[in-house]
Amino acid sequence: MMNRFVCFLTISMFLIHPLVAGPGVIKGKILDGKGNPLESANVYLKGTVMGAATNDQGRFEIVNAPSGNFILTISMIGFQLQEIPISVQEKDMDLGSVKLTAIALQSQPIIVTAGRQEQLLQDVPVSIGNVTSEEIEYRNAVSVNDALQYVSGLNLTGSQINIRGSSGYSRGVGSRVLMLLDGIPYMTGDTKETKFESLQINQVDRIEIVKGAGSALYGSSAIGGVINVISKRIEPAPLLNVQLYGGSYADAYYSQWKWTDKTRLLSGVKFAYSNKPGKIGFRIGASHDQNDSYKKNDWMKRYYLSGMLTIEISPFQELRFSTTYMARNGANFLYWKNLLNALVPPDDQLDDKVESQRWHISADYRHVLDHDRFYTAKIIWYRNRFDDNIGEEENLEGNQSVSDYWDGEFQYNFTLERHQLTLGLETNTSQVSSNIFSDKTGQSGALFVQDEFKWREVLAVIPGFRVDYFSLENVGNDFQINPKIGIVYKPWERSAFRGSAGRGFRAPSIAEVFTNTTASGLKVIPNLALKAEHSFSGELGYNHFLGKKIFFDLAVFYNRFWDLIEGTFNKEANIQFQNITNARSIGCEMDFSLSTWDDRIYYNFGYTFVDARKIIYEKGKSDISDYLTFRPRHLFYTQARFSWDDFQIGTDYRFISAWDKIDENLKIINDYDKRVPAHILDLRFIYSFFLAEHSLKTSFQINNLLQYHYVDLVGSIAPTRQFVLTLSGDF
Amino acid sequence: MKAYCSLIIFLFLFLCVFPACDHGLSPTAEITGITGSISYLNWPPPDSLFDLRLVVFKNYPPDSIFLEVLTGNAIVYPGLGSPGLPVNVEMTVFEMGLDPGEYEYVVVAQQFGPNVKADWRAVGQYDTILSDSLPTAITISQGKLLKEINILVDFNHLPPQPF
Repeated sequence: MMNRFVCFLTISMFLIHPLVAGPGVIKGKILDGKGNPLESANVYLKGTVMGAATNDQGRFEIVNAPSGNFILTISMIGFQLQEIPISVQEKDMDLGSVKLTAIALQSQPIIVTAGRQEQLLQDVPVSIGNVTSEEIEYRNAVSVNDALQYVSGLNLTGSQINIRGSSGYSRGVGSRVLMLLDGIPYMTGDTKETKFESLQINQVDRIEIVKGAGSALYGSSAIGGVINVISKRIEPAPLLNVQLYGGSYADAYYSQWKWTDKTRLLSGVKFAYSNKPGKIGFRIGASHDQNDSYKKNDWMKRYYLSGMLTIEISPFQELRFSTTYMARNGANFLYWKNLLNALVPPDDQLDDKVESQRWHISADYRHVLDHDRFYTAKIIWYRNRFDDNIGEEENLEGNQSVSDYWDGEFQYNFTLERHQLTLGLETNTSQVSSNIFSDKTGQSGALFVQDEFKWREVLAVIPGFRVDYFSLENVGNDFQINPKIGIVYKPWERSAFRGSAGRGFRAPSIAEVFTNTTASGLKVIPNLALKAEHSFSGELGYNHFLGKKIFFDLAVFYNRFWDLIEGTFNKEANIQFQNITNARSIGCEMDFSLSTWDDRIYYNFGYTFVDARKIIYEKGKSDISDYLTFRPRHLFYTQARFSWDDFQIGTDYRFISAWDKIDENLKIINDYDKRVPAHILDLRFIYSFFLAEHSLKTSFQINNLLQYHYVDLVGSIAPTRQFVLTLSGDF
Repeated sequence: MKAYCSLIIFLFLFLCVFPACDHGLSPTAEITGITGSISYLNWPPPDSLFDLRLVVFKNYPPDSIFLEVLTGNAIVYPGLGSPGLPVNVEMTVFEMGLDPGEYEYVVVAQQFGPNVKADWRAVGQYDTILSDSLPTAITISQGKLLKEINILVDFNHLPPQPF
């Protein structure tokens, strides 16, 4: 493992040119139209890897800038993008104050996931969700999945993500949504699941969500969508960020569910320190979360250590390393005893526990060759280890697994007249050592190509494809070709029609092929004949920035799935993963945002309708059949915020319709079919202030204010009302 | 205009959250299913009582209990993840959720050996017409709890064995 990493570093160093010291410093202050400083505006020196974000006083500084003529790009959501030609000399350059013009509540954010390059939102042919660091902070998200649950079209079943009906629930195994960390796959090697909690949320700059098949650029697992978690940049000035939070759960509304007299607490502390005194920047972070939980035998303790190192080799080359280590120790609440004892597990599960550790190290090298060409090389190692005691009371050993996932990719982007081309190679290896998944290795390699062709000023056509070859020990080889095409048509200023169609696939995980275990008298057996599931996705959409204050987006979509993998009983009454389901989902989505009263009031809603059904073939004909399991048909998320000087009050309301169908194999759970639609109302109060020139923020948050009880998984009541007080500051 | 917009937004939010005021799922959610009692006579030795369940089959005669449960044609009480019915008692009261529909066979089944797939036998069935040996079928309607489903288990006089 480490040998490969050292090998990568060696190759990287050969690629690196001699260090080029830039002579200049570019600094300035970014203000809004009224002269107020703008925090978190992005300032970027075009044609280089150099950039900065403004601090709470609106100031920025780019050090070691090279001599020459450049374009300085300043962007921030809500303001007109500004480009300033500058000539960098061998002395400091102070631009003074630069005022940005407010244009709309939501000007176009820059997206990097949809096309593996920077694009404005309206240049992207698929639906995109975007969670900014401000929203993460506003909602006091403790982990990445907390932040995702407010994005329209997404919902969580347990901790498993479902984008527009693509995924049901399979205890996390074989996710149909690909998670990326800074653009490179971040999935466990054994189960190919997304472990959102393994990243430190306060190191996240933003999260981009592609709501449709992304296999033509990202390969397996992107059959239902892609979630890219993008890390914060390291700024030149030293910065210590500290966050403390504490809170408690209220008793359930019904006294019958009360199982303890102790107050159930949750708390945490997070800190991160970063600095970039010269060409080398670093960030170290640590955090701890503790949660007693409102359910019996569901407590959790979690620890993180993280680090990032950036080396600015020259104004045109940057090398970045990052690492996060997470250790989690907790009880394991699988499902309730029954509806009358909904917050208590069955008696034989009262001692179930799980320990897990997750660790990744990644390296990322970016070289801007000129204004039209750049390439990146990335590599990641991701270890996932868990150890539980489930089944030990039946004289069985618990489940253990250690998996290592390696992924490396090279990508080259260049502009050729009206073409923006992306070419890339990717390879990955999964190694598993486990008493339930056995000791196995899987490998894959891929080639991908995309061309963004500006046919007219108002029309872009974006074809692409990816070829994947993969092999699994004792099973064999397979390959997949996934083409796609996207079209963006912008007939009027600030309006865009989009269309996309593409093929997706998901190769079976090692866990799905090789699981061999027994629990509660039921045997799960391997299936070496398991093959990849695949899909076709299509979408048409339109979005518009209306005036300065309103944004709306409409989309209709269609997905067709073949050979979906599900755990089911075979003829010998053993459980086995099989390619048994063909299905289609059809639906629509609408997003609307409004800002009024000098931006003091902000309102947003998103509605998604998904009709996801099985397709059954009989006598050569296909028939639309029953609903797919664990897919809510209606999602309606809305929020309102009111700001007045340093105070802010906000509310979120989410409606998730009840699943039409659940997995009948879960009949082993008492009252397994009890479910209702979810109505969740959260309320927040935030006060920002300065103390000795340090920016501080305190917030009080009440989640599930109305004490509405619903299941977020079969036999599992979602969190009761929760009070959380948070204090955070930058020093 | 500003105040008008604000008012509409907050009225809309209020209307949205109104349905949430009933607190959702409750421990006393209306059960569709059956309730009744099981009375026992002549308990066998403890080493033959591996498990004891109430099983409701859609069809009679059924195949093996294990296959019928796995294929969704039979429902067990208590659920498979939970301990079975209490043993060495005179009587047990039960309340069991079922989907609406017709069920042809309600039986108390005993696992008498270590093989969870095969070692099962019927020890008492719901039967209101004692003049024949056939069990009595039941029909469950949505939102209705069918009462008086009483079963006698006499381990010395077992009912017909369909599996």
